[in-house]
Amino acid sequence: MASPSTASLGPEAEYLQALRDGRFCYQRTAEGRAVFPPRLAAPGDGAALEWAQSSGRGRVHAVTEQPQKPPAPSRIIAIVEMDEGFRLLSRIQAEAPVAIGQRLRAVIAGESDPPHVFFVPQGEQDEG
Amino acid sequence: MRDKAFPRAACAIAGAATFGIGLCEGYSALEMTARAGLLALEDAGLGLADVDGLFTCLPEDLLGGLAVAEYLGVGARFVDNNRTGGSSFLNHLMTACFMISAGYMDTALICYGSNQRTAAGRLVSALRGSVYEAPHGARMPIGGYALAASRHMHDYGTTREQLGAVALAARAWAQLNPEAFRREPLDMQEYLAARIVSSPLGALDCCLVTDGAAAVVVTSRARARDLRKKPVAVLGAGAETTHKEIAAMPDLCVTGAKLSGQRAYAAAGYGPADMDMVQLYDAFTINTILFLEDLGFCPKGEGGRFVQDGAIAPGGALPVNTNGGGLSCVHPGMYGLFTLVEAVRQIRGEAGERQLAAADLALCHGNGGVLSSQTSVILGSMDTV
Repeated sequence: MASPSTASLGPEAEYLQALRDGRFCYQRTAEGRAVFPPRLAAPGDGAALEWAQSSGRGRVHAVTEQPQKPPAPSRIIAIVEMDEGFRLLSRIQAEAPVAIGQRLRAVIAGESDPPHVFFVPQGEQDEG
Repeated sequence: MRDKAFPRAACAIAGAATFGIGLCEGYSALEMTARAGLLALEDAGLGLADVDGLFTCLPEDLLGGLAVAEYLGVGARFVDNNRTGGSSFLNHLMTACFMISAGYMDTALICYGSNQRTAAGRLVSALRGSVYEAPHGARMPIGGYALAASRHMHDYGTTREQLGAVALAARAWAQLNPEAFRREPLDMQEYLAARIVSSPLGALDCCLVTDGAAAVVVTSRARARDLRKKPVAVLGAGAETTHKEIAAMPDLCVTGAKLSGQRAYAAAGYGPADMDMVQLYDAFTINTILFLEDLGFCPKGEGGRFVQDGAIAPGGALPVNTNGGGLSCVHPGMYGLFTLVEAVRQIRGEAGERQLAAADLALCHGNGGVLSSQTSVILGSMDTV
């Protein structure tokens, strides 16, 4: 898949622009290694990177709940492992606590500044 | 091999001091840093004119190294303002040993001070979230450590009570240290009842927010022999950095301490079983468990069970953080330098009521960021050289 934007931007700006356009993208090497956050070259070996669109599906790899001043609900912060093999820090919008292994679906907050991705629980729990 | 390139015992810590631990009203961070530096030089029997290398960083002044150089009038030959978080000062020591042993400088002053408690009343962190992390509003750095703790509990069955054993051990040591900030008794019931800040970590899993300053003076071992105090040899050191933000940590349950420790042991020619004490950066209770595993004191995953029955508390098999640590003694924002000062005091036999009977070898370990930068240093008495 080609770069999500044809404009001459750095990878960070390209990623944010794709989110504004409603696409959650990551990068991968020719061998299929997933890379996130977006970079100019693969960390460690400098391999070339191409953009790919994420399925938006993943699961909770680690999770912490941070109580807020009432009446605000607790903030659920997680490291999400995407099905494509990359991880990112995000928040989970959920009524009840979530456990490691919980399946998630990405929601693109493309209008936010900066645009970002948060997650909602979806379906069953994995082994973790 | 490269790990053995460290100049084993070529250098020694000749002076060490703390200043303003707890509350230091009326002093700026720069003044506290300078005072600790002057006290460490006095401890060594040296003066400012003897210092030709300066290693420091200040909490909020990114060019603090220059500020301290100007204030004390030292460091013209070399100033190192390396800031990798709380591990900075152990990195400073590592660099200083290489530079002194190579002959570029004779004597280095490593110093740091922060008045975050009286000035800000909260942790002053140099961490800035990226565009990928910041929008989620996560409380950091605690969130990073809490995520690692959640994973350690999931993978190894580590419990809140085991994290609590770390907090209780630190407090028990602090009760023996007149300089420590929190000395009132702490029991498991009180620990478990503390408000949760970022699950599974509660208020008593967190390091203190205090003022405090510290300094050490490093010089060649040959020169240190003629100075006021018994020299403490720098036997080995090693470092490893794995990430900056917690989502990029390769394995949430394995820190860079595994490699930094191996490098330090290889350089020193000693292993974990030889250590009389461990002084490590306990920013949060999970740190102690992770580092004891990664530094080879128990197998991976066994840290919780290792600490649960008082093994690291006074009277236990492995004395850890004998000053009370960041959890109960002092935490001005970057604790690393205090691990070195406490080890020096123990090895010299100056630790008062908390003095260990056997105190010849110490592993000091610094942590920076969110388990990001790890540096290990092995200090020893002259008998260990």
